[in-house]
Amino acid sequence: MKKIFLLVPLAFLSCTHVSPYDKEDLATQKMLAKPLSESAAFESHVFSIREGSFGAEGGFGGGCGCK
Amino acid sequence: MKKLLLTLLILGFSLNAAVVEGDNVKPFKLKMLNSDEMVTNGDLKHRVYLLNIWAQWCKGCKKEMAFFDEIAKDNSLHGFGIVAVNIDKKPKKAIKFVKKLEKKLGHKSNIIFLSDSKKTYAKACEAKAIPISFLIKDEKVLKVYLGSFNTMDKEDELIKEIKAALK
Amino acid sequence: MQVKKLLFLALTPIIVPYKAIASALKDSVDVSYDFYSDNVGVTVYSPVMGIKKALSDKWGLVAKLRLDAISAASIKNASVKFNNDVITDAVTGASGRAGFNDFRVAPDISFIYEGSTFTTTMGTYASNEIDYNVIAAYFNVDTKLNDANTILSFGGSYSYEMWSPRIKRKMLAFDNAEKKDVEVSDKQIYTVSVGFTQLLNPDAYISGMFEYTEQNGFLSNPYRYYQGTSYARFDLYPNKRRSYPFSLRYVQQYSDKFSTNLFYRFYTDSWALTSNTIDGSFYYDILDSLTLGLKGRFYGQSAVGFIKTVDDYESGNFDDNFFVSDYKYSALATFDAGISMMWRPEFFEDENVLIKLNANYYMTDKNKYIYEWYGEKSIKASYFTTAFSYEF
Repeated sequence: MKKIFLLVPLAFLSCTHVSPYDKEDLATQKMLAKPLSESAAFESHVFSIREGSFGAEGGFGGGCGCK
Repeated sequence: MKKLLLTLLILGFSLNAAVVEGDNVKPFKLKMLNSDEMVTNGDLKHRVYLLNIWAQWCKGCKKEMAFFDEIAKDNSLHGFGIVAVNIDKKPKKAIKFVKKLEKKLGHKSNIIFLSDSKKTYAKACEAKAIPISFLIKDEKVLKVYLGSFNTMDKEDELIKEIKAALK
Repeated sequence: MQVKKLLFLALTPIIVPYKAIASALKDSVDVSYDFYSDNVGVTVYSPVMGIKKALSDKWGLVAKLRLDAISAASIKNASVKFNNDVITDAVTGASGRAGFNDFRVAPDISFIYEGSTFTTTMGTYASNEIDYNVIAAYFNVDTKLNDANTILSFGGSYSYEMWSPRIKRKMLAFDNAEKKDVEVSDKQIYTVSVGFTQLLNPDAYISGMFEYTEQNGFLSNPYRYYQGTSYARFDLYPNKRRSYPFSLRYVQQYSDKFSTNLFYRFYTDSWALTSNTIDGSFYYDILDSLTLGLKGRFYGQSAVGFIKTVDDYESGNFDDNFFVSDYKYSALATFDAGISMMWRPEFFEDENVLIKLNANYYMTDKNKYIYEWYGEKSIKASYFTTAFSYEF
């Protein structure tokens, strides 16, 4: 599984290239992986409390307790 | 498998031929950022100049503009000038930024702002970073600076190199 | 059910390998405020304060502090028969929703080192509340390849978490290796993750992540028990759980104004729980400075292997070490929808202020375990986030 994950980006290496000067659109707020980062952090917290699975969201879970 | 990966890597890295030290400056004919006047590299009166490629969406680019203005008007660097080529799709925001900068500086900027909204010049130079700056003397590229002048050390080094080039 | 104390289990702090494009080294002050309220008596007010500070052209510091004021119907006095001993709930004078029942303080400090081809983040995290304490450390390395068109990420974390429940009880977990119940009140969590981000063209990129998590120790909730007509039992789970989630994210801009962000996650673990998550967000610039967002999420999971039906638990018709009253380990589906706004007011010089507002509605499907515990057929929640960021 892990090996496949490492290979996926390598497969792209030869066929795509975005130059630094072409990153204008990628630099906008709405193109971030998590444009609403604060709410995403809270959300993933809520989901980890309310649901049985967690992880691989690239976000911040952060300890917790709430009664 | 290893060979295949290596080939892919090499292919990925070798697509570009960027401007390097010792090259002739890529000739340009670009519009002024805030007017329709066209400027070519031949029009420049400066023997030594810094050609900077920047964008409004790049924070490091905007940060170094005040420093650029300072050295562009520095009397001890007589004969030196700065050309800043903006590559925003819509130059509107860049014009607004320059206006704000001039308001902060309290005078009209000494930087020559040009617009390359189609990014043709950035492409011709194969700019390896944004911002990127080329120190040019007699139409030859003396030095390429990737990234911004974000430390005092980098600023001092640039001034030193400009002075050496002016001698 | 008598006990309405719902416990939010801790999750290890995990890292952010998706911060692909922008430099992390900028000075800013960030303040946000989260609010959560649901139909089963839980209300959370949660302000977060943070600063980011560049220490040099390569080093940066990020410090964050989250405070949670949690209000919920608290534990009622109850006696629970447990291993033939009668245990009395130690909490007296249930306060209901008058005032806050708990207060959580969670500081997080990390250092960022930005090299020319890689970025490293190292940090520590703690969370303190009346009956639960966490201390954790984490790291992440992002390597930029191919002119930063490809970013490979590697991360890990360790977390030590300790329960001191308000009710006096013997906390047990089932040790599969020794084939018996063991007494344990803490847990340790290890996480290892690998991820990538690949730019596809000037308008799109794809990200993926695989994360392995191992949890050891007391993994259930010390307040969860079932009280039937003839017996009462605390939840009892295995003392080890291994999780294997992986995710893919695809972000694309279609015009200068419109972009989508699609996310899929598959999760499976050693408790035989598998889940699928689909999340889609749409963003539209109605002005140069104002973006509106719409979001929808669907989540579905299977039950853990050692759960029995509510009917089996009711009739006492089971012969197992394990006992699960917590709905989050049963077969479950949830839905979430949200609207958002991101605004960079133009009247601030340099447009260095960013204001974000977000409102969400969340619900589970009908679930018997939820009904047994909360007396509601499903959980319905609303939550809101307001965030303010000022960059220097």
